[in-house]
Amino acid sequence: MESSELKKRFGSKYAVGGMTVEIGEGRITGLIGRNGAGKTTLLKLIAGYLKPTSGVLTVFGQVPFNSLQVSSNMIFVDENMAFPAAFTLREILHEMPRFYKKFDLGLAEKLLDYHSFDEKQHHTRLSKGMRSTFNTIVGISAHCPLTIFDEPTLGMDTSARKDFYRTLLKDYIACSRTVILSSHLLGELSGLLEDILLIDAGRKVIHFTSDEAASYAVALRGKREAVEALVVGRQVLHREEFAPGEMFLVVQNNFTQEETVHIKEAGIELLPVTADDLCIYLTEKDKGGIDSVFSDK
Amino acid sequence: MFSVINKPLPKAVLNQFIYKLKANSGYFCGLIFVQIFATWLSIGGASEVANFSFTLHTLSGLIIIILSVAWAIFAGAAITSQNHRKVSFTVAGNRLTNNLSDIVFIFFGCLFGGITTSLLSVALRVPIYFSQMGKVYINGFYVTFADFLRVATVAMLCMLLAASFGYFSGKLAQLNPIFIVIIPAVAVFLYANMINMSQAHNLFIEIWSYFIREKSLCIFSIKCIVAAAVLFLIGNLITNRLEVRK
Repeated sequence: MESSELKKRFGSKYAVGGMTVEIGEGRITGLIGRNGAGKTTLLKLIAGYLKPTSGVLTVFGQVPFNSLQVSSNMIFVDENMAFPAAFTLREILHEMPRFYKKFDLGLAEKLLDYHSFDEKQHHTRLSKGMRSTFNTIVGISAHCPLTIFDEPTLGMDTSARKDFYRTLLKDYIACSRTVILSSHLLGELSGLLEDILLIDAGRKVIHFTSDEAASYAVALRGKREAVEALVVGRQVLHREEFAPGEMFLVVQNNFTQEETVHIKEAGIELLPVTADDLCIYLTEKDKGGIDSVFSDK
Repeated sequence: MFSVINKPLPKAVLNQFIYKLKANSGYFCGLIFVQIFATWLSIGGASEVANFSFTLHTLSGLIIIILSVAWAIFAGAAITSQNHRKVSFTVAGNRLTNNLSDIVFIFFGCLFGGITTSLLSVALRVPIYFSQMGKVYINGFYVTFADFLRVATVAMLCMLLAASFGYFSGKLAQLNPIFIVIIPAVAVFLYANMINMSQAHNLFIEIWSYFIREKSLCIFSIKCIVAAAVLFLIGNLITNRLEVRK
């Protein structure tokens, strides 16, 4: 999937405002961003449901909007998946090979049984979490070259979420495909994602591998003056005074070995920054954090 | 790694049609129920003219056709509803496959309705035959195969015309929800107009007469098919670029 200066406007607001990105084939990419960042819009543009306002977007080398070929090779899993009310869960699964040639019915039925679904139940009568679980079963078993999950774990309990990540990973190892998964729960996805595409306000913030994300930034903790002196000329990703005179700063991890030794000698702690925290820091609003709301009280 | 497949359009349309047929089997149950109800009304409503030397019973299957046409308008509009679109776009396909499979589904429904209308108009005669044993039957009481086909064709074409109107109305409503109000309002206005005005100046009656007063089955068929095709085509053209699953 490739896009260049891709834009999508709803009314006067750009949900996607100039996205240039390339998502590689045969990888699991996490599309990470805060609420309203444009994740769902971007995914629906890729799926061909929405028409770009401007820019270029190709999926399998084709323009996805209204494309039968893109649609035939893609499944889009979200909470709004709708199946005929007349069908039971079993009937839904048995209809899927009609649309997805590689649909693994055996796997789908095993997963249905594992999650204790009553196969005579109807999709519309499932609870939110169970419906999400069923939708992911359809999405994983479809074995589509492009599988898109938009917030797939909505309403699922922790155990069901872990099972989903594990199932996806095991099936992905067995049958490689391109997976794009949007979520805000990056912490839970750390063992699953190969690439992370972080977006904010409809724009790409950063696109890197999970390994790069893990070592991208570092946190410095110590006396304010000492810490501030060390980061002069560097872009500070996050700044927090956690106690009077004590600072916690996050900067990009490009210190030389000598600089690292010097930092430690100055009594400043060097702490790793997880990919989850990094994404929060890279997309946080420039309003002094939630604490600033209460600062006047 | 899974390879990308190229699905031919006819296969994609056929898959969606079969899926819709199974998913909407309730529509056909509804049609049968409506037609049986109409048959019962027809039997109860058989008119009788008594004279000093004979009693004349006249029997009409018109109610079956009228209620089937009403079903066709409903089915044509319902297939374009938002819920149907959500179901259609959850599985593989694009707007063209979705629209074409909808139209095939409507054709199939009308064909089915045409045949059952003809069958029920035969069934209508059975209770009359047994309740009026030994009477003289005149004017087409006994149905030939040609009659059977003629009734089925006319019923199917009427239903097709009605379904295409329902489908077109549904597509307009997709374009702008204001049509959900405008279309019934216009229909009520025209109906009220039909009651109050003379036949010659009423648009509703003129359009109706254009189709229904046609004597030749062949020309009637052409008129209905062309009108339905135009409604289907315009309905699809105006919505073919609409975004889905917003």
